[in-house]
Amino acid sequence: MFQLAYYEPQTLKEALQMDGVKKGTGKFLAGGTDLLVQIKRRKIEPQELINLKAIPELKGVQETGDGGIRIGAAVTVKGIMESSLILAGYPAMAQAAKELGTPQVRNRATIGGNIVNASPAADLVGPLLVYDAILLLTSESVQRRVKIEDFLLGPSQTALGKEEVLEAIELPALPAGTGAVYLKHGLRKTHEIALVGVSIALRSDGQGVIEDCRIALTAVAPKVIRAREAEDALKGCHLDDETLSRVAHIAEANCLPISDVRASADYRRQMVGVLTKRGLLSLGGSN
Amino acid sequence: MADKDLKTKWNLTPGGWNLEGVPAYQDEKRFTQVGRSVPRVDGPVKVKGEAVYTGDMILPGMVYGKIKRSTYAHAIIKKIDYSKALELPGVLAVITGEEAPNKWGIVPQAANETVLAIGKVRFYGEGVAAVAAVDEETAEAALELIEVEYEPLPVLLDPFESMARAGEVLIHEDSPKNILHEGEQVYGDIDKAFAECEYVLEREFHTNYPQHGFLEPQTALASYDPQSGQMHLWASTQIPHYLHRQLSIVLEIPMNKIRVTLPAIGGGFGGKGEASIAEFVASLLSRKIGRPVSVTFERNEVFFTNKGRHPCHMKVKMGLDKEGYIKAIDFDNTLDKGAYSGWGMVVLFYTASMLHLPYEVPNVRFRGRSVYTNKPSTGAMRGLGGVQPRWALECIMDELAEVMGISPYELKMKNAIESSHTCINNMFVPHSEYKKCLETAVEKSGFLEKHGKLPFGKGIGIAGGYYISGTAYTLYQNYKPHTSVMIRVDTEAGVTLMCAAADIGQGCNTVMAQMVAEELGVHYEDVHVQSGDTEIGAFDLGSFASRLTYASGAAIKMACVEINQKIKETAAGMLGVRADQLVLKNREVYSMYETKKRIPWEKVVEAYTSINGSLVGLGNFSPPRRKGIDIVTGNRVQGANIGHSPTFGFSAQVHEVEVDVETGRIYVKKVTEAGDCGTPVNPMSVDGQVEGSIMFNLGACLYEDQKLDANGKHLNPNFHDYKTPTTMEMPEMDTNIVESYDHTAPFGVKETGEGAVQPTFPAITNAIYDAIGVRFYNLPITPEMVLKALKEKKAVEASSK
Repeated sequence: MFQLAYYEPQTLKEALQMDGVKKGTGKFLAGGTDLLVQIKRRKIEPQELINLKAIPELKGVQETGDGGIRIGAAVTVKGIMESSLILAGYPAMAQAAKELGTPQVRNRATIGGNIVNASPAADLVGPLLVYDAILLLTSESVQRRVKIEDFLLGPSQTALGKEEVLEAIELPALPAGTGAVYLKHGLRKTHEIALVGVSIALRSDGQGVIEDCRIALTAVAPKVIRAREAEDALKGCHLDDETLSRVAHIAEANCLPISDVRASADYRRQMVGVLTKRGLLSLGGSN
Repeated sequence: MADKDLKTKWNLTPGGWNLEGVPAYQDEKRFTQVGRSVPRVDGPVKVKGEAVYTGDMILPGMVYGKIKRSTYAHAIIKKIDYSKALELPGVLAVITGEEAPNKWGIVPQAANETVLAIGKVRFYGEGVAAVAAVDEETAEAALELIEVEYEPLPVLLDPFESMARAGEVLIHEDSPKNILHEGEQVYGDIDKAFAECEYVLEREFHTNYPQHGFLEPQTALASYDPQSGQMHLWASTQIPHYLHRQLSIVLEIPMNKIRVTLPAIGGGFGGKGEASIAEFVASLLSRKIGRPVSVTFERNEVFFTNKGRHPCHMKVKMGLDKEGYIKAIDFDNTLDKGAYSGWGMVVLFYTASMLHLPYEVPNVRFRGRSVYTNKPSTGAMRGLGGVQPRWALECIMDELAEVMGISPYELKMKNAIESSHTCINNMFVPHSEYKKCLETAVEKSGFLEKHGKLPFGKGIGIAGGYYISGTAYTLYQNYKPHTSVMIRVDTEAGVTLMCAAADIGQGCNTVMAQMVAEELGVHYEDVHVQSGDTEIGAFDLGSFASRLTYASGAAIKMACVEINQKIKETAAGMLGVRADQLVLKNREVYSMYETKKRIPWEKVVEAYTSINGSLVGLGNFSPPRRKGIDIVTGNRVQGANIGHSPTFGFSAQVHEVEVDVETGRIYVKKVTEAGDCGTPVNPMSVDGQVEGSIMFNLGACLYEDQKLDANGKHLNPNFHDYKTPTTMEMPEMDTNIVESYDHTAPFGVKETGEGAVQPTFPAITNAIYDAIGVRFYNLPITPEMVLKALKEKKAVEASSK
C-alpha cells in the first residue's frame, strides 16, 4: 500500500541533504495545494514529503538594496497579496495573488509552488514574467540564478534540477514611470482557473510615447509566454485606438490556446485581444 | 365587513380562528409564533461546526465501503474477477450485482435499477462491485484489484439518436423504443383554437444538464445486528420512508426490522429524493460481515450517479386572440432520462401539468416522451418538471408581447389567474395572489420605466411562475395519510413533536416548532422536534414536492385538537370557567370573556399530568384527490400528481442584467422578487429560500452544465470545472412577501422553496434580450454563445442595410 514518510527540516542545508532529495524519491512540500491533489489522484507517488515551511531562507519579502525585492519561495499567496513592498512596487503581483483560487487556497498556497508546478494557468507567473523575475535555485553545492522565462519549459516542466530547491524570487528595480497590470478572465468572479490572463508592464515618456513594454499571456500556450511581437509593435507608439486594436490582434496571433471543457481556443484567443486592449487602456494614464 | 369589525372577538372561533381571514402574520392578536422571524433550530450547531453529519459518525468496529465503477457508458459485463481483491489484507468482503438482484426505483411501476449492475452497464460510472475494508485506502486498493471484462456496446447520448437507433441498440430490453414512457394529454380543441388566434408563435427550446450541487455528498452508515436481524441505517436522504421501503425490497427484510435515521443533512434539492447506491451498499456489506459499514461518495461519484434535472427538448406553440388572451398551447417535450427510470414518469407528466398555470389556458395539448440514454440518470431537482416548460412559456410570451406591441407585464396581468380557479385539466387553485406578485415586482423594480429603454448592453426582464404545495402521490398504490405526527406534552420534556419529516436544510424543523407552539399557545423556544427517524417518528412521505409546511401544518393542527381539549378541560376546573371559552396563547390559558381569569399553561400541564400522565396527540394529513372521472362531463381527468395539490405558491421576478459585449459575460445586477407563499411561517426563512432559489437557477441558467465526451465519460465531475455561482455572483436582491392568506390551508400557508426557482431562467433570458436584442433558446447561456450571437446579429444587420 501507498506510504509516505514526512520530514520537517529546519534549515535549507538539512532539506537538501535528505535521502529523498538525493535519490529523487521525495517531493518538497510547501502549500501542498497542487502537490497533495496530485498525490491523491495518484499522478505522482513520492516516498517522502519534505516540508519546507519551517526554513527561514524561504520566508519573507525583503528589499535587496539595489531597489529590487526578494520574495522567499514559501511566502503564501495571501502574503504576496498583503505585502506592502509588493503592493507599492509590483502591484500586478498583488493583483494576480488576489485573483488566485479562494481564500482557503491563498492562505496555504505559496509563490514557489505556483512557479514550480508550472501550470500554463498559474496566476503569479504572468506578472513575474513582465517584472523580469530572477529565480534563485539552490542545491547542496551550488546556487544559480535563472530568468523565469528560461526556467519554465512546458506544462509541469521546469529547469529545476533534481537536487535543487527554489529558494527565492528576485524582482529587479523598475525604471521610474513603469506601470503594470494583471487582468484575469474566467467564467465567474472568483474561485476560478484563468481562461486567459494578460500581464502588462508599460513605460512611456512624458509625451505618452511608449518606451518599453512587456506583455505576458497566461493559459493560452503550453506555458505562460511573452507576446514579443505585440510588445515590439507598441514601442514608439501612442496608445491610440488604432494602436490598441493592432496590438490586440498581434497578441491574439502570438498565442496557441487549446479547446477544452472550459472554453474553446477561439474564445480564448479573442479574450487575449480584449484583455490586452483593456490592460493597455488601464495603464494609459499611468505615466 | 368594515375593517374595524374584523378584529373583534365575535369573529373568532373558540380555537382562535378568524373566519374572515385577516392576513395572519399581520394580526398579532391571532398568531404569535407563526409569522415570527426566528433563528433556525439547527442554526447554531451548524454555524459552530458541531452538527453531526452521517460522514462524521464512527461506530465501534466500523469499516469502510467503496464502489468499483464502470469505465464504459454501455457495455456487456463479460466477467468480474475479484479474487485478488479478497486476498488483500484488510479486505472483508466484496459484492457484485448478483448479491441483490431485486430492482429498486421510486416509481414502482418502472423500477429498473439494481444496486450494482447485473449483466450490463448503462452509464459511465455505474457501480459494478463494492468492497468493505478496514480503512478507505485498503478499500480503494482493493477496487483496483477487481478485474472487469467488458464488451462495449454503442453509446447513445442523445435522446433523438436513442429513439432513432432503437432497432439496433436497446438500453433496456423491456423498452423496445428506448422510451421509458410516452403520453398525450389533450384538453379542448387545439386546432380550432389556433385557427381563431390572431397571434401564433412557435419555437423550440433546449435545456441543459445541471446537477443540484449539494455540499454534503451522499453518505450512509449501516449497522446490522445478526442476532436480532435488525438493520439500522443512518443516511443523508430526503425520503426516509421511500428509502426504508426500498431497502426492504432490496434486502428482503421486513420494514419493521429496518430503522432509518437522518443525522444533519447538507442539502438535497431533489438529488437525495431517491435512494442512493451508498445506502444499499453500506447495508448489504454490513449484513454480509456483521460490522457497521460507512460509505461516503467522492464528489465525482455524486456526478456519476447524478439524478439531476432532465434536459428537455421542447417544441412550443402558443396562440393569442386579438386582445391578447391565451387561447391555446401546443407543447411537445422530449426528456432525456439518462440510464434508469427513477422519477422519470412523474417528471414527464409534471411538465404536462405545468402548462395550465399561472395563466388561464382554455385549450392545451401535451405530447411527451421520456427517453433512455447512456448518461447518468436524471431525476428530481428543485422545481421538478416546472422549470423547463416555465422557461419556454415565459420566453415565448415575452416574444408575443413584443409582436403585439404591448408590455410583457400587461400580457401576463391580462392572463393571470385569480383565486378559485379551475384549470381545464381540473386542477383547482383555491387562492392566488399572482397578480399582486407581478404588480409588486414591477412597481418595486421600475420595470415599466426601464424595459426597452436601457442602453445597449443593459437589460431588464420579467417572468412569473408557481409551484404545487402540500401534495404528493404515494408512489406505490396506497391511500394512507401522507404525514402523521405525534405530539407529547408533559413536565419532563415540555412539548415534543415526533415525526419522520426530513429537515435537509430547508428548515422544516423550525417551522414545525413554530406551528406546534402556535397551536398549543406556547413559544417556539418551548418545542423540541424529533424528526427524520422512522422508528421514533410517525410516518411521513418525505421532503419533496414542496409539501412539508402544508402537510405537517395540517397534521400538527389535528394533533393539537386533542391536547388542547384536555388542557382546556383541566384549566376550566382550575379557573371556574367554561372550557370552550378558553384561549391558549403566550404560555397562558385564559377566558376570552373574563380575561382576568388566567393561569400559566405550564401549571395546567402539571395538573393534568399529575393525574393522568403524559398528554399525547396524534394527527395526520392526506391531500385531496382530484384525479379520476369528472362526474359532470364523464371525462377522465388527467394531470398527474399535481392535480391533487391543495394549493399553489406563486412568484414573479424582475432581473436586471449587464452584458459585457466584448467578453460575452452576463452579470445579473439586481433581482426584484415578489412571492405569494401564503402565511410566511418564518419570514426570515422565506427570504433565505427565495434568495437561494434565485441563485440556484441563476447558476443553471448561466454556468452549470454536466459535460460528457463521445464515450459518455464525464468531463467536469468536480466543482473546479462544473461551475456554480459563488457569493461574488450574487446580485442585489429585493425579495418581497406579498400579503396572502389561503383560508383552505393550515395557518394559511403555501410553499416557497420551489415556486421561486421557476421565473429565474425566463427572467434572465428576457433581460438578455432587452440588453442585446438576442433571444436564446439553449441553456446555459454562455459567454461564447453571446459573442457568437452578437456576431451573427451584426452580420444580419450589415446585410440588410
